[in-house]
Amino acid sequence: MDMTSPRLEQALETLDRGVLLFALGGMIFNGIETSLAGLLLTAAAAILYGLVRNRITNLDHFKLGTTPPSLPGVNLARLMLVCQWLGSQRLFEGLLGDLVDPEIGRTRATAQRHLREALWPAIWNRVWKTVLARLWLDRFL
Amino acid sequence: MKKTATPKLSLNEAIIAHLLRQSSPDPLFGLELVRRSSTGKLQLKKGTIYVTLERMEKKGLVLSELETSPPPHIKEGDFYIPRRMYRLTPLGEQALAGLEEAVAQIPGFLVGS
Repeated sequence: MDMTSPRLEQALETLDRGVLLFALGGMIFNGIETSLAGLLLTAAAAILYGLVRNRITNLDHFKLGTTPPSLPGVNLARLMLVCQWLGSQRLFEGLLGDLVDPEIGRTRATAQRHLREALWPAIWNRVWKTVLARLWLDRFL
Repeated sequence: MKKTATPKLSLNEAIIAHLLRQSSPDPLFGLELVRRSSTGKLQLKKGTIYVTLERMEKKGLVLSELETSPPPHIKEGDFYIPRRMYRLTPLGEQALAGLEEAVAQIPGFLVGS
């Protein structure tokens, strides 16, 4: 399936918006009825959808031109998997590219610290921006 | 004919666009953008740069391509993957010029009021 087709992208965006709005509605109504189980189930369903949706979008990506030599202290397979489920190809490439830098990639500790400092804020930032964009709030980005 | 609106830039996008225009015609990679921004008061963060660049690319404000040759400090056996280099598109330049024009009008507007 060509995930870059503009029509497919548009359709998936509509689906995302629908799921997000229904999930928010579900959270609000379950909140009003103080149903913790309902709240948690709705949140879990929305999170699961988001994760799988991102994974589907990224299925055909993450092709590195060459196999990079292994980098001590950095589990490339794990980084790739985290980025496939929660991030994007650009994020993966960017973070990996940073390790080429002599200061960052010099030692195991500096590489690990860089990934720790950059990966999770980047993922959180991406999720937040995606949610805002799906709610037509791009102007606040 | 339908007029294509110039996208508006967020603060981070404006900083990136400004730095890319400064370095033009040479492209820059994400970490270099973060480093160059650290001299001013408005700083880019390592944790947000790639997400912002990704969005800018989707909006057509920047173009990216993979580095064609390794940097000089890379020796054989060193870890290396080609880094993604970014450059500003004409649309990005237009968006930045639009923002600068709007910002330039602020003092006049404040004095006038």
